[in-house]
Amino acid sequence: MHRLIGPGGPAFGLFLWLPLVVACAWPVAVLWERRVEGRHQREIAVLQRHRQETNLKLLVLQAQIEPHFLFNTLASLRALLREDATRAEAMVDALVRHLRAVLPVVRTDLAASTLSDQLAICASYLEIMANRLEGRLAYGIDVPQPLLQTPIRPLMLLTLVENAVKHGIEPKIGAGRIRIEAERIDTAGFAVAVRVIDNGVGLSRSVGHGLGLRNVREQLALCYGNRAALSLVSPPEGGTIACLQIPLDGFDLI
Amino acid sequence: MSPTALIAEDEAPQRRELCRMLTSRWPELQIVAECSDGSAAIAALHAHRPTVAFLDIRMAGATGLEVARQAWNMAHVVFTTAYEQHAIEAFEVEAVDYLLKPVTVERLDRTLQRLRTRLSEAPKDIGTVLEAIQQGFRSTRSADIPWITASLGNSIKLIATEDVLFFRADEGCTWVVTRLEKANIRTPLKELLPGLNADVFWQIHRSVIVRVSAIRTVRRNELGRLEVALHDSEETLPVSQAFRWRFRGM
Repeated sequence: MHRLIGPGGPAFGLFLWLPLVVACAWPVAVLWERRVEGRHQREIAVLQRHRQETNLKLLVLQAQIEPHFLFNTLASLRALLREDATRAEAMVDALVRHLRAVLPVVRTDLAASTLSDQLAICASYLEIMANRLEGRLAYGIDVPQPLLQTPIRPLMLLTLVENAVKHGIEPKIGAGRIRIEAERIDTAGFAVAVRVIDNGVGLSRSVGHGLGLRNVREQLALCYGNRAALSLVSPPEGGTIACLQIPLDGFDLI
Repeated sequence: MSPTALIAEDEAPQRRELCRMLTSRWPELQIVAECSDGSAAIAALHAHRPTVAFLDIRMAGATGLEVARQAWNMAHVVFTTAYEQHAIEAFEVEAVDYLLKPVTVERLDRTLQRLRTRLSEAPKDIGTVLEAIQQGFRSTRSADIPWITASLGNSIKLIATEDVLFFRADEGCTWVVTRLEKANIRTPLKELLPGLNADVFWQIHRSVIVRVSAIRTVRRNELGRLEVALHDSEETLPVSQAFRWRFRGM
């Protein structure tokens, strides 16, 4: 070190030192900056991965077939096979459509999912349930043509319909009705409202609301940010209205 | 006297199928009541006093378990279920008869065989098994309540617990306040507390439970009392002496 400063004394030493320090510090600073930048990128990547994992987890949970549903459907089929082969056949077809729609949720399906597809899935499910409950469930779907191609994250609507059956109609004594409708709206920045309306026992008397709806909420937050909303209300005249408000231009695929 | 049976099943095709199977596998058994809900089953039970009651667990009106509670000292109970894991475990432990749906002929024959030998005995006391299953139902519910069913005017609304800023008790009702709305429930704070995550919600007063992350500042008012101001709400909430320790060292 001493030799570097050399015979020229402290003044000369300073002149020699300064560029040296700068010369040495420069690459260190650049390296440091790169490291920080790299760390940021890694953090972003971790967050991104976390989002993808959450997305996948939510989809898998949403796509779960309830054993209770499957076994009861098969039990009804067993009865119908003997009584009414045509009805049994229609029910097998509806069950197959339902299983195909619900089991493999792959990314390509995700991207292409429209309201029209989701209504078809709901219709298969409702057909099965109407056959099982026989006279205790009637249903109707009323969505204007122009809204059918609205992109919508898959299986959320089905969860709302399943809830209407499980917590609205099944606990009700006597005949029940479910209607799915959609309309163009323009409130609070939302564009389309999809409603599942039942005349079942209503929210106050039903129990077990929870995981399915929580899942829908999490998916809305993940894929739509604050551009979508979910609300469930039991009006004074009874029954329950589940309302999904979504934008027209689709959702994040993640 | 030929044995009689009651069938309670809320899905009509399944009800008819069980009737058909019973008639073919046990012709002497006389089916005296076919019920589509739990309330009808309870009424039919008292009206007909059947020897055997086939009870679906999930039914409108009253569950199969609730019907069984009234039936056990007059009828032999056979439960039917599609899939109720904890119930099936309890049935196995207590040797209570049950049928899994879809019901197969082999399994039905085995159950009927057992029933025939038991007809002369008094029906088994299944109080303990019912209690065990009820416990199972309760414990499968998650500890944290995800939704709160609250009144909003004449309507009832499901409010996500995640949206709640605070709960405030006031003259017999409890206000549930979110960023956008204020609804009320009948559940007292005391009953609400066990269903809330203790790290997320703090009780800070006899009549107030607040979301910790909603707290903006804690300050002393002109009377020297501690109070909490919130993000996203104009209201200030009192902190009582008993809960002051929560804010020590903050």
